[in-house]
Amino acid sequence: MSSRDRGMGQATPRGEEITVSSTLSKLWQGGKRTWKLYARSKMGILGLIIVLAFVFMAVFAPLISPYTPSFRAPSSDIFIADSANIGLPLKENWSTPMGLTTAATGNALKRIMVYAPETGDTFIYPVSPGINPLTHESGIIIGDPTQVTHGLPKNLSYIDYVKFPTPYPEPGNFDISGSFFFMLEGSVLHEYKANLVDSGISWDIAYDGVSFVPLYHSNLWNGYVPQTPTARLALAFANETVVWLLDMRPRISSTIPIATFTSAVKVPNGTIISSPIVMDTNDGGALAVPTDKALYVYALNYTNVTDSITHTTYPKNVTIGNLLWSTDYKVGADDFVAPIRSKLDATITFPNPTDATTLFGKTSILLATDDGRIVAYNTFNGTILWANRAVMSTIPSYTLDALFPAATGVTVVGLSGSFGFIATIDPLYGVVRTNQTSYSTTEGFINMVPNYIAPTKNFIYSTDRGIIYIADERMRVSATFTVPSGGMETIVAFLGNIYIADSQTGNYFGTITKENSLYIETISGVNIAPLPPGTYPSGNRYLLGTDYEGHDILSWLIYGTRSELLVGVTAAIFAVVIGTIVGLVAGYYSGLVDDLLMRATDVVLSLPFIVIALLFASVFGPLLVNIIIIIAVLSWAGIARVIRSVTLSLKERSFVDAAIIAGASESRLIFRHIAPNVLPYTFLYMTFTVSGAIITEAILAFLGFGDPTNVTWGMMLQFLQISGHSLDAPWWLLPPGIAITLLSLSFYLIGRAFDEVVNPRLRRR
Amino acid sequence: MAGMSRYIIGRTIQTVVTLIIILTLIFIMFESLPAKPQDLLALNPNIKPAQKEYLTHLFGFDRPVTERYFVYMKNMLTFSFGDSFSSAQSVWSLLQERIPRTLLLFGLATIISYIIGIYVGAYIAWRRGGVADGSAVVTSLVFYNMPSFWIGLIFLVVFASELKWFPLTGWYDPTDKILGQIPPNYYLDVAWHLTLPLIVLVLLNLAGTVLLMRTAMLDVIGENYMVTAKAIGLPERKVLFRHGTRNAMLPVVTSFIISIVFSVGGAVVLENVFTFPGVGALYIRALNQLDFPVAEATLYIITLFVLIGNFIADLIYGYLDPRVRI
Repeated sequence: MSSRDRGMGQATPRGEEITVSSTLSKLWQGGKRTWKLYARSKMGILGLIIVLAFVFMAVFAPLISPYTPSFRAPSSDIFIADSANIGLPLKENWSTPMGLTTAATGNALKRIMVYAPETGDTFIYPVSPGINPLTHESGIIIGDPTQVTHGLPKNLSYIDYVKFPTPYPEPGNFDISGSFFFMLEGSVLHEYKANLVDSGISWDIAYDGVSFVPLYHSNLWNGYVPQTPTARLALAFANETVVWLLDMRPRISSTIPIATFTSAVKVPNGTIISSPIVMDTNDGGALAVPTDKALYVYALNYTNVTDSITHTTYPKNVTIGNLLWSTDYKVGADDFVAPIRSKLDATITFPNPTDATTLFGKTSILLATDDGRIVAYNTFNGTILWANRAVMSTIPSYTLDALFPAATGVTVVGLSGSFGFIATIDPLYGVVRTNQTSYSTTEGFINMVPNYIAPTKNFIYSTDRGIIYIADERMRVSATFTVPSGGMETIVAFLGNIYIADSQTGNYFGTITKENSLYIETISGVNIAPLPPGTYPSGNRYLLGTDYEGHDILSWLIYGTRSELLVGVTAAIFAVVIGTIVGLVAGYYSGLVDDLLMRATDVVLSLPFIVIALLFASVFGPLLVNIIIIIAVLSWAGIARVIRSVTLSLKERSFVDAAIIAGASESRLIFRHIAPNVLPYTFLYMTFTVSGAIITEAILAFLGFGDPTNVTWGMMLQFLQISGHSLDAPWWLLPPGIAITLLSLSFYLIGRAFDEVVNPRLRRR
Repeated sequence: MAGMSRYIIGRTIQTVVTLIIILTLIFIMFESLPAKPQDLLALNPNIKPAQKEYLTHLFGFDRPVTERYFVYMKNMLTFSFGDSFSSAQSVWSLLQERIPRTLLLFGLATIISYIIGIYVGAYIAWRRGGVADGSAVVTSLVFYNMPSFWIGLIFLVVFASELKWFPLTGWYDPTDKILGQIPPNYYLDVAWHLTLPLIVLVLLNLAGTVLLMRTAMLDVIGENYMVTAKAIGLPERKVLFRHGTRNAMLPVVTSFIISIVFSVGGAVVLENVFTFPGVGALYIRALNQLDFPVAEATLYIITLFVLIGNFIADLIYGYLDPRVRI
C-alpha cells in the first residue's frame, strides 16, 4: 500500500530519495489532499473567505477607503459655529488682522483692523452680534469699513496695540484709555494714539549714533502683571549685534512722552538669532539675549520714582545693566548644542514663586537646539536644569521650530518628515507625557506660533495647508477649520471676545483668505461630533459616521485591518515558532531537558493571561511591538504542550527507527522527519492563536494599554469609552466590535476545519 | 488510590515553585517600571526635595535590591501588604471588601453557565446535525470570539440606557445605605444591579461550555458502550444522561474549576465596563496610579487563585482519571 493512501501525516516513503522536485510535488499532493478534506467543512470555507476579504481590505486600503486615517471632518460638519466673511476693498497684500479691544468697551472685540504694508492702506471694520443675512440666524456681522485717512506709514515691520490701564483718560479724545499703537517703520519707532492719529512722538533706533533696522522685537512686561497701575512696557529691538531697549510707562498726561529712556548693549560675541526675553529674578529683572555662540543674560535696572502729579511710585528708567552670566550652550563635557533660529524662546515660571531655595519658584529659560533638544537654564546663574529631547514615541526624528510657554508646561512646535507636530513638555523634567496625548500631529507644517487663548484654555494654530487647528491644553485637537475658498493668505490670529446678546462670549479668530476677504470664526460653537452616518454640509459622506474628533469610522475600520492582521499574525507566528521548537526539543530529548522545558511551560500556562499582559504593557509601554511580544510570550506554552505530545507519539513510530537505522543524525531526524509531521499541528494552533491574539489586543487596547498612535479596532473602542459616548454612538460602537468578532471567528473557523483535517477522529462519523 | 500521594506531593511542589517564580517575576516587573511612586508624588509643586527623600526612604527604594526582594517575599507570603500609596487605607482592607464581590459575580456566573451549558451541550450533541445543534454551535462560536467588553457595552446601551430595565452600574449604590443600616430591599437592589453583568458573563461562559460539552459528548457517544446501551433498548434519556454525560463530564468538571479562577482575569475587563467595584477594577486603577502595594497584592491574589484552582483541578483530575497518576 502506498503511503499516499494513508492520509496526512505520513512518513517519507522508504527508499525514495528526497529531491527538490519530489519535495515540491509531495507538497503539492499534500496540499491538494488537505484542501479536499478542508473544503468538506462549510464553516472552514466561510472562515477562509472572510479572512481573505479582510486581507484584501488591508492590502487595498488606500483604494477602498473613502478617506485617509488622518482625515478629520471639517468644522462645517462638526461645529455649529459662527463665521463671517467680508471681501476686502482693494486687491492688495494684507497683513494679519488685529482685533482692537479697549477697556472702555469692556474688552469686547468691536473693531478689526487690516493693514496693507505696500501702500499703507488701513481699514477698520466694526463687528457686532446680529442676524446673519444669509442664514437668518443670530451670528456675527462685519460691518462696512472706515478707512483710516492718510493711512499708516508703508512697510511697517511691527505694529502692536498696547493697552495700559490708566486711571487718567484724556478728555476730548475717544478711546484713549491708555491704549496706544507702536509702529516700527524702518529704524524709527512711532507712537500713535488709539484712534490711529500720529501723536508725533518717535524714536530713532540707534546705537552709538548709528541707526539700525531691527530684526527682532519683543515686548517686556513688568512682573507679567500688566493690569496694575504701575505696569510698564519695555520694547526690546535687536539686530544682529545690538539690543535696544525702549522703556515706557502709562501715560499720565498727553504732554509727557511715554518712553523716558533708552539704552542699548552690544553683545560681546556672536550674532543675535532671536528675540530677547525678559525674566524675573530675585533681584528684579533680567534680559536674556541669545546669540549663535552664547546666551547672554543682562540685568535690567530701574529706579523707583514718585510722580509729582499723582504721588504714586512706579518703576522708571529701565536700562540694561551688567552682564549677569552667559553660557556657551555646552551640555555636558562633550556635547555641543547649537541653538536654533527659533521664532520665540520662552521662560517658564514654576508655580510657587515664593520658594526661593528649590527648583520651584525659579524661572528657567528654555532654548531649543538644532538636534531637537530643549535645554532649561536656571535664570539665576545659568546652570542647566535639564536638557532633554522631547520624546514622542511615534516621532523619532524631528526638528524643532518654536517653543513657547503654555499653561501646562512648554509647548514645542516642530516638523518631522512631511507632517508637523505640536507637543507640550512638562517643565520639570522636560518629557512629553505620551500616555496623555500631549502631542498631536498635523498634515503640513505649522507655520505660526500657536496662540494660547486663556479664556477657553485652547491653542489655535494653522498649517501651511490652510487648516486651522484648535487644541486643548493636552494638544488634543478638538476642532479643525478649513477656511473657505481654499486657503489663508495670512496666519490666523486670535482677535478677541465678542459679547453676544445673552452675554455669552464667542472667542473669535480671523485671517485674510486667498480670495482677499476677511474671514472670522468663533471657536466656541457647539461640537456635535461624533456624527452619525450621513451626508453633511461640506458635501462629505460618512458611511459609518465619525468619532468624537471627526475621523471617518469606515476609513479607520479599513485601515485598522492592517494593524489587526499584523498584530495577530506576527504574534501568532512568534508564539508557534517558540512553542514548536520548545515542544520538539522537549519531546525528542526526554529526560532532564524535557522536564525543565515542561516546568517552564507549566509556569507560563498557569499565569493569568490578561492580568500579566496588563502588567507587561504597563512596564514596557504601550507600543504595538511590545503588545506583539507580550502576546507571543504568553501564548507559546499551550502550543509547546501539544507539539511535545505529538513529538512523543511520533517518536515511537516506525519511520523514526528506519531513519535511525539508515544513519540519520539527530538534527536530521528532528528537522527532516519529525518536524514536517508536526507542522500541521503548528499551523493549526497558529490559527487559534491568531484568533486569540486579536481579541487580546482588543482587550489591552480597550483598557488603555494599546498603542495610541496605531489605530486598531480595539483603540477605536477605547476612544469611544474615553470620550464618554459609549452609550450614545452605536455607529461607533458596533462596527469595530463586529469586525473584531468576525476576524477572530473566521480564524477560529479555519482552525476548526483544519482540525478535522489534522485529527481524522474529528471528522464526521 | 495508587500513586495518589506521590501525585499530590508532586503537584504541591510544582505549585509552590511556580508561586515563587511568579512572585519573583512580579517583583522584577515592578522594579523595571521607569517611574517610581515617589516621582509621581513629587510632581506636586509643594513638595520639597527633602520630603522626596523621605518618601524614597519610606517606600524603601533607597535600600539595595536584594534586601528589598527578601522583604517583599516575606511580606507576600505572610499576606502583609502594607498600605496603599494612593488611598489612605491598608491594602488588605481594600482587597477584603472587593474579593467577595468579584467572587460572587463570577462564581455565580460560572455556576449558572455551567449548569445550563452541560445540559445544552449534551442535548445538542445527542441531536447532532439538527437545527438546534447548528444554531447553538453557530451562536456559541460567535459569542466565544466576541470581545467581552464589547458585548457588555452593547448590553449596557440596549438594556440599561435605552430600555432602562437595569441600572448602569454593576453594584448596589452605596449612597442608599444611610446610617449604616441595611435598607429592607438591600439584597434585592444588589441583585438588580448584578443582573446585567451576570447575564453577559453567563452568555460568554455558556458559549465556551456548550462547545466543550458538545465535543466531549460527541467523543463519548461514539464509544462502544453507548452504542451497546442504545442497542439493548435503554431509554434515550437514560443512555444520554446516565452513561454519556457522566463520562463526558470529566473534562468539563475540571475546566469548571479552572474557569472560576480564570474568570478573575476576565474580571479585569468587565468590571471596567460595568463600573463594578471588584478586584479587577482595583488592579487597573493600581496600575494606572502606580500604586505598587495594591497592584502587587492584587496580582498576587489573582495568581494565587489561579494556582490554587489549577491545583484543585489537578487533584480532582487525578482522582477521577487514574491514568494521570502514573
